[in-house]
Amino acid sequence: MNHRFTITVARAAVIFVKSVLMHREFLVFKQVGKSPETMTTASTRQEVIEEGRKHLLIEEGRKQLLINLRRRTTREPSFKLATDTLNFLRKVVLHGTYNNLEELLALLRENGLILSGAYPSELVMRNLVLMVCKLARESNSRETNGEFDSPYDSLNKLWKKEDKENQIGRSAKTIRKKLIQAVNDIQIEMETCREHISAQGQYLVHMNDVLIVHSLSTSTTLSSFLAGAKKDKKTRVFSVQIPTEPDDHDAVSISLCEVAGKMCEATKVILSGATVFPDGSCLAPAGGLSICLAAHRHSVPVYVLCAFYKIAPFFVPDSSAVIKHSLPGLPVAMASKWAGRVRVLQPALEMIPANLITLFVSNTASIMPSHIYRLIGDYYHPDDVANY
Amino acid sequence: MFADKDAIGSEFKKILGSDVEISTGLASIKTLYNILNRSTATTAKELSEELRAAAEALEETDYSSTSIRSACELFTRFISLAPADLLDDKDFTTVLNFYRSRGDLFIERIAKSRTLISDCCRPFFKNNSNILTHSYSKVVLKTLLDAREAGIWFHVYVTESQPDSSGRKMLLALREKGIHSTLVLDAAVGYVMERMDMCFLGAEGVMETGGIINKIGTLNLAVCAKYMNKPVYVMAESIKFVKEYPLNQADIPADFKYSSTAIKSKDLQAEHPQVDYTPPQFITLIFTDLGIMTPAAVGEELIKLYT
Amino acid sequence: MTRKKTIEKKAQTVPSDEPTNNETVASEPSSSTPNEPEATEQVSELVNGVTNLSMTDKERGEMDRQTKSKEQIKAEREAKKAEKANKKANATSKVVASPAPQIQQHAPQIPNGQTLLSTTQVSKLENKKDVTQKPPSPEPKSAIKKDTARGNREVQFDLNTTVLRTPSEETISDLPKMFVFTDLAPNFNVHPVFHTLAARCERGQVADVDDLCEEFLSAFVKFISDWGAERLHNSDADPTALGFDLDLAIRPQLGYLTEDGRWPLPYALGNLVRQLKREIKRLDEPCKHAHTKEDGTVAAELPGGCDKLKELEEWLEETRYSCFELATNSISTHLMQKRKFSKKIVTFDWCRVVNRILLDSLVGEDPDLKHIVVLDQQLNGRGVRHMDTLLDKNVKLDYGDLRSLSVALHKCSIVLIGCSAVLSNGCVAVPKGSLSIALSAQANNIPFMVCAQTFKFVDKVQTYGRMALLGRENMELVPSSLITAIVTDIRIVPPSSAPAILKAKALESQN
Repeated sequence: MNHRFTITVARAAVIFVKSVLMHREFLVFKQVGKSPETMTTASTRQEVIEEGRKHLLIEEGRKQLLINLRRRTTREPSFKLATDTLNFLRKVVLHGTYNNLEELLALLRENGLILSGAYPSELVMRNLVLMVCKLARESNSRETNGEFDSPYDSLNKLWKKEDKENQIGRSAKTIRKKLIQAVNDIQIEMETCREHISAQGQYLVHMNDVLIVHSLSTSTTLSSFLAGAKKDKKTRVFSVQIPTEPDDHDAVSISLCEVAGKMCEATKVILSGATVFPDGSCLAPAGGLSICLAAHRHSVPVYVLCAFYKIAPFFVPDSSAVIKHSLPGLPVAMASKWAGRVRVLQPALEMIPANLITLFVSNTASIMPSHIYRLIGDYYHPDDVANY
Repeated sequence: MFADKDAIGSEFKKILGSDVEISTGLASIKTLYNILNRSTATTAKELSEELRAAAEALEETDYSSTSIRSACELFTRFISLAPADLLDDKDFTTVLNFYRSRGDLFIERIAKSRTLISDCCRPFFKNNSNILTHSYSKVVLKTLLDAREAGIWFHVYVTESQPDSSGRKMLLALREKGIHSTLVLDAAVGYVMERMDMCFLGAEGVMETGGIINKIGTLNLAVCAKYMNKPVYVMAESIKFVKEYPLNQADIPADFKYSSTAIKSKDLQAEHPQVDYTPPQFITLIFTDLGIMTPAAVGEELIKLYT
Repeated sequence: MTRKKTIEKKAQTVPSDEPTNNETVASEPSSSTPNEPEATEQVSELVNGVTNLSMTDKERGEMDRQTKSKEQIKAEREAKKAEKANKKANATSKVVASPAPQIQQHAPQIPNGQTLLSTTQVSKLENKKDVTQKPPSPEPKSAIKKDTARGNREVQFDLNTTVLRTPSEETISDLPKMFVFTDLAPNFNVHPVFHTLAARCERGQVADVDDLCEEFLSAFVKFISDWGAERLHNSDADPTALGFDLDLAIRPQLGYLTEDGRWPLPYALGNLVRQLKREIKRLDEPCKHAHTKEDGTVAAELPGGCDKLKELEEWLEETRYSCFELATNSISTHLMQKRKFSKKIVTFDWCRVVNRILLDSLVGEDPDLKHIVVLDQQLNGRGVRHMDTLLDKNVKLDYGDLRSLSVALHKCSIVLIGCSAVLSNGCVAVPKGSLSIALSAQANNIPFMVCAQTFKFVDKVQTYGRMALLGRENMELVPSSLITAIVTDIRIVPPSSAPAILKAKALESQN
């Protein structure tokens, strides 16, 4: 009796599992867009399943990224977001199905559009997608074209552009391999950029300097920069904080209203940037604009720290579309009276025009705002930017 | 040679007349290209002499001398950047053919430049904005029309731009396509500036400094805009980059300022200048077919080209 | 008494065991290490403040003690760091050790029967004991003298401490957070009305300068009536010296409010006080004046000069009416003409006049004003008072702090704020943070307007700096180049015409 029972159970289990698998395959087929009837040979069917599975992987990766974004209530350092995005893009490159460069670019673009459509305020994601696109192009053409200058148009290259059309496309496999390598290089660069930025601190901050910094608690780059700058040097730091934020180590806390008054004592202002645009203007945490205006009035230099992945190749002329509003921080009594009638403004970011900024401190070098556009050629390709 | 000059001049005018949309720069390039096609030169030097003479003839017409000069210079330079081995070839006709194909490419490329500029500029338009523009500029016109077609709504204020009232031409062209526009006196630029959201300008020439040469009255507009913190966007094709470095208004070359007939016949002291120079600090961004540039970038581009 | 002696003995024996301990114990009263004595000072002042103040709540004292203890901890930490840096041998261990044995000694000696909550509190108390061990002067006065010697370290009673300063920081804005009522004796001369006024100021119940001036005036009216009545009973009071006596009587009141002249009154209030003094002087000239009211000569005959006092009261009432009601009305009317282009108004912090203006603009069927943005120094600050009055009007309301400045100024028509004084060089004293707003407004080409009644115009010039206010706040000075216009009850003036207004006022008061 027992014996027969177990056999029936086992058989039922097998049937169940098979049906589940079939169902899954069916789902997979649906997603991939092919119907099971057309599949005849076992090998192609296997391929299709593989494709589908990979597709699922990519989708899941993307969903996870978006879910993580949604979970955040306050702005976190961009580094984490950048690494997450890069990991996701690596997954896309690894598991995506494409045969040549164009398909890869199309795939990347599609995923990028979904991401930035979900979170238009996080420009770092867009930057990274474009960066990977450019790396893809590079890995495609690296063998054939020895020279390697900026792909952006130049007057004297107006005729050279046409020559590139008759390039041999590399095979998908080699592209993939090279691209993954390039992506890993980018990852390493990202991980070390904080140290490089901090290293520049000792050249920028001198003895007896009085610094005003902003959003020290939310930016790890800024705190490590300060730590590096203050080594063996006597400097005073005023940190602009809102009262609810945690207090900081060595810096004297002042509030945003006092900045204009304290600016007469300060010798330098250091801010962290969220995104930098090609004309030298940048998005910075809210409150930065007041500080920069006061600094401009007192001719105090303003340094903005930005890692390379924050430099965007495109413009966002309507900043209100990009600035995310964080959750309001009013006590409950207010909320009950004001609900629906009063809008509490709490922008997370602000746009600072280029003429108020003295220098951008990046991991590679310190750049003047008017020269940001030069770096764009290093990381991005114009076709990708135009078509995004 | 004189006869040739007249012939060249009339050919140029014919090209300009045949296509309303064409810019002076492109027309001059096409003229030069025609000369290149017809050329019977046997050495490179002869050819460049021929082209230079043709360029001079073109400059003597009363059209915008800045654009003509820059376009011709670029064309000459462009086609003459041939690979060295080709130049050694005894048979000049192969070289000529090579030049001709290059010329074709160049013209094709330049013809697309206005569209490229218009695409560059599109993200900067906001709905329900007030735009101020100066005089009649085909590039700006195309940009505005394309933006309107894309569905963006805006109101354009055009300055009348005396002495030739070319602003009226612009107004008519805009109204024809259904864009709301208003004519504004040149003297009223300061008055309307506070209502504006941005200013679009064309350029007759883009200087090495990053500043521009444009119809007289541009400087007033730019200074007002700067004071009131309004962005000033300049649209110029890449063929308008000129290798000149004006230090101030007095330093603008005379053949830019005055028409060639005026230079020849009249007393320049009494003559009104037709253009002025707007220094780079008043310009926010320059849109070219090479991309969006800050004024600082222009100088670099020119260095890259001419060295 | 014997107990106390034993304590002292023990305290002295302990130091004798460890020579450096003696140093640290003795160093506390003298000021060798910069941090610890200030901590002790603060604590001693706290304790003194608690015992001396008659109007502060007990609970506040408790809570403050706890905040104080945090500061005490911080100060001690700083002291430890300082000592480490000085590389004193065994410094830290000694510092730690010194409170410990003393704690054990003083545990049974806690005054007031309070329970021991934490060692920090105990150490605080033992520090108090250290202070009492100092040789010469009586307790309260010594602490205060030290305070004046040091300058500006005073006890903070405010729960909303946003600024924590390390004791080594010497910044310009080192103003006291609160003034301590020290002298018990002169308190008897101070009318309780002024006590309440001062107390209310401290507690932040007096919102802005307007309210302060008004309350001051009403307080003064009460004071005069009481004083007058008292004088009436006092038969040997000389009627002709009415003004003189009143003047004398006022001085301690004012002295009390300004802490013996240490902190000047807010300028607008100072103006009022000056005018008042002038009026009081006039009381002594009965026959020279041409009274517009009833027979002035009668006043000289009445005992105690009641009528004159009544005149004074009337004058006070009149001033109050003209300064506040009338002035606000005319300011509002002046701005009415500018209504048509003000679709969106941005304001900062609370000002009564601005509130009135906003409400007036919203009157009617289809007001031009569609959107009001209220900014504040921090969220849930004083600007909230605006919102309460504007909630049910048909207007779009936004609220934010200075971080939302660029969003707030987007498409704004005018920026309208109130001020506490207008200086004669055209600068305006405004709440902190307004300078940032002025700079942003200039960058966006938005007119920046300031509302000021004429009594706020002062004949002083100060280019940049902070001023003391009875309400304990630091004010900012906005230079005249950033201000588009000042709206006064006379007319709308450019900031450069401030001296002209002063002249007009002076002429008016002479007539």
